[in-house]
Order: sequence, then structure tokens, then C-alpha cells
Amino acid sequence: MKLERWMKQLMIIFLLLSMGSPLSVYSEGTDTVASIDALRERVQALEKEAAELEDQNHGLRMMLREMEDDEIYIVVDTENHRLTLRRGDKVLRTVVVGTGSRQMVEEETGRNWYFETPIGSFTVLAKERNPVWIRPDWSYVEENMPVPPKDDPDRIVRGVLGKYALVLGGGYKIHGTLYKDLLGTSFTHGCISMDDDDLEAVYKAAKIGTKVYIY
Amino acid sequence: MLIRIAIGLCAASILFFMINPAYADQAGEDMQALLLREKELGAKVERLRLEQEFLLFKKGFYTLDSKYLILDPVSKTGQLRYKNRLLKEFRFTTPSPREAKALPRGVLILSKKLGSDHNRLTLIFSGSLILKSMESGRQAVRKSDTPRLYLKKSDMLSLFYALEVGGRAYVLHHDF
Repeated sequence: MKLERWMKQLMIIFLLLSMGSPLSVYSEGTDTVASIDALRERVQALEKEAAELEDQNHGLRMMLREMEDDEIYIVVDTENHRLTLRRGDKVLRTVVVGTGSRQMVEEETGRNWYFETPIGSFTVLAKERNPVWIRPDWSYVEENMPVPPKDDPDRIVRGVLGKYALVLGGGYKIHGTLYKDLLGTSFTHGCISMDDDDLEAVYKAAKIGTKVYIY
Repeated sequence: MLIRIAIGLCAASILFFMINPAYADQAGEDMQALLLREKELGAKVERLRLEQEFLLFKKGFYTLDSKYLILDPVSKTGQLRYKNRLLKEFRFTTPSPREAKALPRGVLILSKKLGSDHNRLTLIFSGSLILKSMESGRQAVRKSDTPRLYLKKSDMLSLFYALEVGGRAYVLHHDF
């Protein structure tokens, strides 16, 4: 009897101890479950955000692709006297050019002209073969010659602009030159001049509407 | 009888003891996996955000009437662009790899242009990046801790006269 009672008491104590441990593990387990659930929610939120960003970026890339094209364009670096023919981001040809002298000519009457290649974005408005130079007033002033009337045939000069010209507007052109030794310097009256072979290549590559970026 | 009941209960407790550690192990593994996944996703989201920042920058400048720069600190190359057109490509150097890593990233604004007569041309962006031309083939002596990029004089010449104060540059993050 006594033994049975002792055994009963021992069993009860043992049972209580063994139940206490699972309880604490259970409460820890409950905390772990709550943490895992919160973490799972964060992961899901990040997955959603990543998917949304991927979609948005894809849309942006598509939009940018539509804004790009494969057209040829011309870039003129006036500081370094280089003209580059490009298609997309590729260089097709780089050419040494002459650009505006940044000199000024002044007439006694007070008229003056500053010779600089204009900066900005232009378009090839026309293409000319065997272009003719119509001498402007400053070319007479520059040589201390009297300025003839506007319709004077003396103003028409052939063979000084090369075989081709691309008209940019405002009196500016891309054309050839007799002064090939001066290419790579600022010597023109604002136009962009180049060697004959380069001129032919650029003329043939460009079309009316080709963009020209001068900086 | 009582002893049998007691033995049965003890056995059940022992079994419970054995299951719970196993359960705790499994929960730990799940937690580790989720934490790793969270970290990976966090990095991915950051990468995507940076990519979007650059795409939005490009989209904005494809429509603006303004030239801008894109600088790649990894390949040490840069581009002068106007809308969707590439005007010029150039290379640059940094004084050290450490300085290359310290380069600011993202959008910068041209705040100052220094130099005249093609000498000692300097472009300062947002007070946090300086572009200078090489001087006599040597890199200029540093007077401040602002990160610097050095370009060939001819390239610096082009950029100096092409960009206006207020113009933008984008330094690539290279995480995407």
C-alpha cells in the first residue's frame, strides 16, 4: 500500500514535469508560428512589389524602344572639328571638318557679320549637286571690295563648294572646300566644310529630313 | 491498474517530447528559408527600383530639348546625348578604384562650369562630382575630397561647350 502510494506520488510528479515542458515548447512554438506567418506575409508583399516593378520596367523599356529609331543622323562637334555620321548608336563615318571662324567682319556703314557655325538641331532641307555659291555682301566687305547689286551675275560663283551640298537653312550648308589644308580648324564663314570623298559619302548617306545635331 | 495508467501516460509524454523538438527543427528551417527569400527579394526590389529610376530618366530626356550625360563607372565610359541621339562617346579615368566606388550614383545637376580659353576646364555636378581635363597628361593635384573624373582635353572641350548649367548627368548604379 505504502509502495503504491509512493509510486502514485512519483508518477504524478513525473507527469507534471513532463507536461510542463511540452507546454513551454508549445508556447514557443506558437510564437515561432506567428513569426513565420509575419515573415511569409513580408515575403509575399515583396514578391508582389517585385512583380509590379518588373511589369512597369518592361512597359518603360517598350516605350523607350518605340522612341528610338534606326535612322541615320549627323553630329557635328564644332570644338573638335569632327562630323560623325551615325545610325542609332553606331558610328558609320567620322570626318574632319572646318567650322565657323568666330571672326567678325565690319563694314564702314556699321553692318557687321560674326562667322560662327550655329549650334542646335537642324534638318537637311535640300540636297544639291554642283552647288553654286551666291556671294553674300560680307564676302565683298571682307576683301574691301564694293558690294554689287543683289542680282549682279558676278555674285554667282561655281566650283568653290565642291560637288555636293546639304542645305541646313539660314544660309548654312554642309559642303566641300578648296582649302583642304584648313580642314580641322575654324576657318569657314559658318558653314561646315569637308574633303571631297567624305562629302560624297555624307551626301549619299543623308536624305532630305536627316537630322543634324551641332554642338 | 493505476500503475498501468501511469505507465501509459508517461509513454505518451515521452512521445510528445520527441515530436516537439522535431517540430521545432522544422519551424527553424522554414524560418531560415523565408529569411533568405526575404533578403533575395529585398535585393531584387532594390535593383528593379534603380533600373526604373534610370528608365524614367531616359524617358524624360528623350522628350526634353537638353543635352545630358550618362556615365558608367564600371566601364569608365560616358555618353553625351540629346533626346534619343548619341552625340559623343568618351572615356574617363578616376584617381583610384576606391574613388571609382565612391562616385555618387543617379541624377546629378551641372551646377558650375569653370575655366576659360580651353584651359583647366572643369564641370561640377551637384557639388558631388567633378569632371576635369587631364593636364599635360597628368592628373591634377587634388584639392578636395569630391570624387573626380578625368577626361582627354578634346573630350572635355566638347562637353564643356555642349552642356549648360542646369544640365543633367546620370551615373549608372550597375546593380541592374
